[in-house]
Amino acid sequence: MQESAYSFSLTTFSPSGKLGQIDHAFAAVAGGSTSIGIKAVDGVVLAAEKKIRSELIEKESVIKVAKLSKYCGVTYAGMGPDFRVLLKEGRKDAEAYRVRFGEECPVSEVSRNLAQVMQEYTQSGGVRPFGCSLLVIGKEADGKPGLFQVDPSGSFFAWKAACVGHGASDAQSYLEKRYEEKLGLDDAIHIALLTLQESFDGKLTPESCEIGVCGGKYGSEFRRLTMEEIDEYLS
Amino acid sequence: MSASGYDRDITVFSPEGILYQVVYTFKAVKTAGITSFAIKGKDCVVVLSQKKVSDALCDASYVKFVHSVTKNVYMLVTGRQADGKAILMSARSMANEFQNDYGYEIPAQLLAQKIADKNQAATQEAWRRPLGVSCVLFSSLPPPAVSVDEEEPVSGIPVMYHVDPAGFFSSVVAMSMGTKDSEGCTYLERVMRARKERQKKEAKRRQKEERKEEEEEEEKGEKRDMEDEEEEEDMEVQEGVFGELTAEKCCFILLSTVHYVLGEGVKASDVEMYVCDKDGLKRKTDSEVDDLLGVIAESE
Repeated sequence: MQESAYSFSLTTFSPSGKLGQIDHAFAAVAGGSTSIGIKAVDGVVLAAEKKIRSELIEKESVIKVAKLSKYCGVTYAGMGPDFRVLLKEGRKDAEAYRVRFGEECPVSEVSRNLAQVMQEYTQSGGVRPFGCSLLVIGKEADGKPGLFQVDPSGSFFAWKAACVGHGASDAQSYLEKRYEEKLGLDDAIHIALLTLQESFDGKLTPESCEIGVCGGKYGSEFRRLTMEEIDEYLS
Repeated sequence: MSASGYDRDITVFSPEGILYQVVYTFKAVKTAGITSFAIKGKDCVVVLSQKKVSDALCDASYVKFVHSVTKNVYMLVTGRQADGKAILMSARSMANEFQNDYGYEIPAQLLAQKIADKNQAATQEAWRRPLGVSCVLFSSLPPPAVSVDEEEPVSGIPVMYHVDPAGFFSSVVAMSMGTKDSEGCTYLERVMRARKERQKKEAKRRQKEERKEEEEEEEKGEKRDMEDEEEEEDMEVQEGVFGELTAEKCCFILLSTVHYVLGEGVKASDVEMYVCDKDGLKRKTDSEVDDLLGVIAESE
């Protein structure tokens, strides 16, 4: 880890055994705009609401769903700058894996590495936890699609469908009703957009959301959908 | 929602998940009493900063808010003056390191990202406070063929990136920073929206005329997909709004913003205005600025 002028952690146990800073980090996540991940039989999708605070900002320059490695993508809810740091670390780790072992890093390994970084910041001296939860999608070593959530505490979970950010619990119940084991990727994308629309103010447009996919008719490489493609799904 | 106890340490989250020190840093940007504005045109970037010289005995020519980072990338800094110097020095250092390592000039987008990452680190590491400055990096050179995150460059010539103390950065078409930043941004957004509306109406009117002409020419009436055409219009209009302006128009819009936000008593000596185009950065002379301000005042 980096050198620190602080030799003690700022995240300390309360008498009841809680790590307050991590709980507060979760509050920061809950204030962020919604992101959703859904795993289908033949692929996996990430859909994220993009809230831009001013019309003066060029929306394309703000990235919410990002490519982490050839087969993995990641999105977040919470603090954007913190996400960039994790994205950078995640990309480096995935590339180091690929260089070392000669094959692409499986999505579970990517998630484990990201979780490791996040956990370090809850225990190291003089740093605060990351204020974002990540949703990571990609391919496992056996080619199966995978979806993982990584939290500020450093724990990570595999999901069939997950959502983080504002309105996550409502969106989660919405997803539970609609999710089926035999979902195809196209259906998954539709459901993700419907779920986003539920917590969205007004009508969802291609400019106000980003979608990343792995698998299905899009091929196993991760890529973001263009505005035209998103528009087709929305209409 | 009280900040008590959670606002002293830099990297401590409050129970609501807020980093109070970062919130206070944004306030610190305003304490300098300076507001600045920037706008991007089709082949230029125009920036303007309020200039407050503390003492009549001060040599005003040494007070600068727009600095060059590399030969083609410039930075407009607003906020605490000493922090501004620090962020400029670190930007220059990163730019030179990049030039040394890779042999070509750092693209503005990458430099903005590096500065933003440094700002983010200051919000997460306890031994360093965030810098009380907001900055806009701009360049009138096109970005190189390969952009950092996307396959295609994010925007055409020229580029303008805004980096805030929290580490958020984005490409912007126009921006206002400093004491009256919200008034400035609101005004610029309003102008942008008005221009969009006007352009939409113009485009629709032109389309109607063209369609009338074509229908008259055609013998067979072919059905056209109305929705597709309207969508195309929308795409065009969005790009063309502030991105299509000439340098003169940009100067006019910026000075109107100044007039609106800072009041009618603003003179050329209270501001410094720069135009950055393919010939480099040029300062607008006091007389040019005064002339434009005069025109704006008259048109009220």
